[in-house]
Parts: sequence; structure tokens; C-alpha cells
Amino acid sequence: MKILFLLFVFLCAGFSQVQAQDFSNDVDQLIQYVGIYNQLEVAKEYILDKTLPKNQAAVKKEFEDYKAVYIADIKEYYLTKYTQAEIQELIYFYNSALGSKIKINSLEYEHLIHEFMDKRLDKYAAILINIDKGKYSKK
Amino acid sequence: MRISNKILLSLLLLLVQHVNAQSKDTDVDKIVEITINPSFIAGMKQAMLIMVKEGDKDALLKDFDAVTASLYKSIENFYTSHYTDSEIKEMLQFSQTPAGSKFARDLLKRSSNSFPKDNSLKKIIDSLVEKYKL
Repeated sequence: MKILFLLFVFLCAGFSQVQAQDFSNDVDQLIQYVGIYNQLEVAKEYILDKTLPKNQAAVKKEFEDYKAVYIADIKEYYLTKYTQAEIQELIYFYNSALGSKIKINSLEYEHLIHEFMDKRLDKYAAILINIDKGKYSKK
Repeated sequence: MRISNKILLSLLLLLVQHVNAQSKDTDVDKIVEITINPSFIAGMKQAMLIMVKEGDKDALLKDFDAVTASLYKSIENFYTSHYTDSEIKEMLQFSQTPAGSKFARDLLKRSSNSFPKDNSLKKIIDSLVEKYKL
């Protein structure tokens, strides 16, 4: 009886380990699908564009180190804030015809969002400068 | 078919086309709203309005709304040029499921640099640019 109980405990532990590994693999797959790597590529291009050519190797190295931390943070977030069923539902969506199209357009989307954020800052800052210069009378 | 019936049918077709076009705009608007953070823009607008005198608020609003509309247009154009009406509807339907809405909220945070932590990617971009700038 004691041996049977130990065997049961051992099997349960093994099963939950396999499940945890599956969940981790699912999250890795989702991270591949949602465009995080493209977002990082766009960010890297932006930084390289604004830095001196002689510093670019150092920038790339530092950015690669940060990339691993960022991906790890995202993985931790999905593992703690989502259930495995939710992650699988998202993977299922990304594997659909529409999801596949979203994956194909992902790099362009990330460029668009980056540009949007950049332009947003510039354009609203221009209005603030106009307020400061007296285009509209200040209180 | 009598002429008046033909006219009536044409009007009906025009109306259907108009309703379809309107429904697409509404769906695209909804997608744009879940892609970018409208509360940030609303907050910025309020903050600017506080800074100017009553008589100039309309002029400021006009300029602010024109800038906002031009920014929104780029996102709208992306969706309308890459996806069909039914695909946009499908995206919206998915964003209303429990997993989809949770995911859409996080995508919104990501596009405003607060995912998975506040300003995590923006901080590293700014610090690298500052350290190695031209």
C-alpha cells in the first residue's frame, strides 16, 4: 500500500512537471506569434539610427542583452496573468487564416505603432510650444 | 419595371451601400480605439485646455482635433488597406471574448510602452540613445 501511494505521488509530480513544461512551450510559441521580436527589431533600428556609427557594435551588444531580459519579463507576465487555456485560445486564433495574416503584417504594424508614438509626441509638443508662444492666450 | 420602382430600387441600393460604408467606419474606429490609447490623448487635451483662456479654447480644440485626426488616419489606413470588412469584424469579435479582451488590453499597454512593466522598453531605448547619441 505504501509503495502504491509513493508511486501515485511520483506520477502526480511527473504529470505536473510535464504540464508546466507544456505551458512554458505554449507561452514561447505565443511570444513568437504576437510580434514581440518585430517590436524589438523596430526599436533596435530606431536606436541605431540615432547613434554614432562607431558606437553601433556596443549598442547592438547592449540591446541584445536587454532583449533577453524583456522577453523573460513578457514570458513571466503571460505565465502568471494568463491560464494555459487562454494562451492556447490565443495560439488557436493566431493559427487561423486571419491570425496568419496578422503575423505576416506584424513588422509593418510595429513600424506603424512606433511611428505613431514618435509623431504623437512631436505633434502635441508643437501645440504646447504654440501655447507657450502665445498663439492661444494663456491663463 | 416602372420608372418609379427603378428609382426606388436605386435609392435602396444607395442606402444599403451607405449603411455598409458606415458600419465599416464604425468597426475600423473600434479597432483603432483598441490599437492606441485614447485615454492618453483625452488626458492631454484636457491638460492643454486648462492652460488657455476661455476665448481661445475653440481654436486650440480645432488644432488639437486636426492633429489627432491625422494620427488616427494612419492607423485606420493600415487596417483598411490590409484587412477586409469581414476580417475587421472577426478581429472585433475575438477582442470581445474573455481571452481576446484580456489580450487586447495588454496589446494596448504594449503600444503605449507600459507592457509588461511601465516604460520598460522605452526606458532602454531612451537610455541607449542618450548614451550613444549622434
